[in-house]
Amino acid sequence: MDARRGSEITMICGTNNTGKTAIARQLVIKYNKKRDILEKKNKYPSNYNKLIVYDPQHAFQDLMREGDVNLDMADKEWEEKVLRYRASLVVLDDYKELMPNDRLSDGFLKLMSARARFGLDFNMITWSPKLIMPRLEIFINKYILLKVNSDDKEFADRIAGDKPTVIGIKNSLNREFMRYTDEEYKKLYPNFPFVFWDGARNKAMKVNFKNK
Amino acid sequence: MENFNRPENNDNVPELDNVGNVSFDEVAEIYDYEKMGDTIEEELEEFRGKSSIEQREVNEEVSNGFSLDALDDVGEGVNVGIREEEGEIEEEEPLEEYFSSAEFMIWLLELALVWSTNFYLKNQELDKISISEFEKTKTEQRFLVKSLAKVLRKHNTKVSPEMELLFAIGSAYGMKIKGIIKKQRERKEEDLIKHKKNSAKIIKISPKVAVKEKLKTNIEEYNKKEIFIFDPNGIEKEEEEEEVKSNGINIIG
Repeated sequence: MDARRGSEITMICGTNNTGKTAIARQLVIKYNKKRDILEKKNKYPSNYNKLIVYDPQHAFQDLMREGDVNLDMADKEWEEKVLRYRASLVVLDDYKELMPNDRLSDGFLKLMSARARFGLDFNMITWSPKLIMPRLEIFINKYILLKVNSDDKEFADRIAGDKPTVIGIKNSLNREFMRYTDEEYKKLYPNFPFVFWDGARNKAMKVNFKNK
Repeated sequence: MENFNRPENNDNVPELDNVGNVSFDEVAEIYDYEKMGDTIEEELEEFRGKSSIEQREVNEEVSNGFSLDALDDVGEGVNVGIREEEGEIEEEEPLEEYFSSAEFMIWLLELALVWSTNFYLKNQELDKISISEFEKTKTEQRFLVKSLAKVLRKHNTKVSPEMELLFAIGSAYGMKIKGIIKKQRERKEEDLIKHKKNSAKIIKISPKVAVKEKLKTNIEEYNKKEIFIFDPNGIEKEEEEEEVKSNGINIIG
């Protein structure tokens, strides 16, 4: 079965300066290449194949193209804005800033229920599993995990999938991180070590690990 | 029960040593979609079936947010246009539209007002009220009478003799009000001139000089620092000088 756009919510989780945004950027670069190919092949309405970002660090601005959207924290109805687009990638850097309450807003739930139909994929970034909202967990099926400071219980509770494996991922990540000094780690840019974790299939992939 | 508080770097800690290391591209391939969802595919097929002009129109609509603002209810909004085309949504008839409009409600309210006023005034001895008596009444009452007269006149209501009197009173009082406003405005202008006169340098000139120098003496000049005012004494003096000159010429001639 062919993979279809519009059901992926990927949570990129890692503590500060571990390379979350750099990895998200790489995914956006890939996405840009993909939409170039798609738009060469066929015509699309102007609300298709867009990049929609909440970008407080201005880390994605150079990757944006005409018609791409910047979300604003002050915009209380940003979900409605996103719902205007089709077959697009939504990147929410530090997503919790957009959702300050502990309860998912009606607008966001609406967005979640419509995402498959409208072809909206989400890459959300957060610095701690603690900040993954309880109700949001059920929508997330893929994780890009970097070094985190959470304890095992917290990590296993918030990251979907087989718990011992999830804890194993955390330990592997932390051990890998400790192999580098700060300076050495910065030099890895943009190839930081991370684990891609598919919680639904219990499938893990190590990426850029020194320890093969 | 599982123990989640395992210490880190312990030998018993499970790790992913058996998991292979892959390149970033392999992860990116997971997101490399060719296919879209059915709804999207249908929308795209519809779009591609249109002519380039129609496609441009769709894009303009999208960029203007015209079609998008209809998305109050997800899914419903998108289908409204389609259902309209199929004729599922019937347009309101003009008459129904009028009855549901605000204009109609205002008309109904005014009609009720006219009727109740007629009813109320019939029970009053309005024919005994003179204009002078009317002027002595309270401001609110006078305002009410004028407002009612306005509404009644607007609807060309066939009015009783009492109402005729009411009109007469209203219009008479209205004229008086106009006069007061005019007087107030004049007084304001006078005050302004007075104020300007006190604060600006006044140069008295004769009308001839004013014409020669192309000076204006209207209100616009008050915004400037110098004001030119016609001086009647100056006119008389000029006339006398002219007479003397002409006499002189006659003598010489």
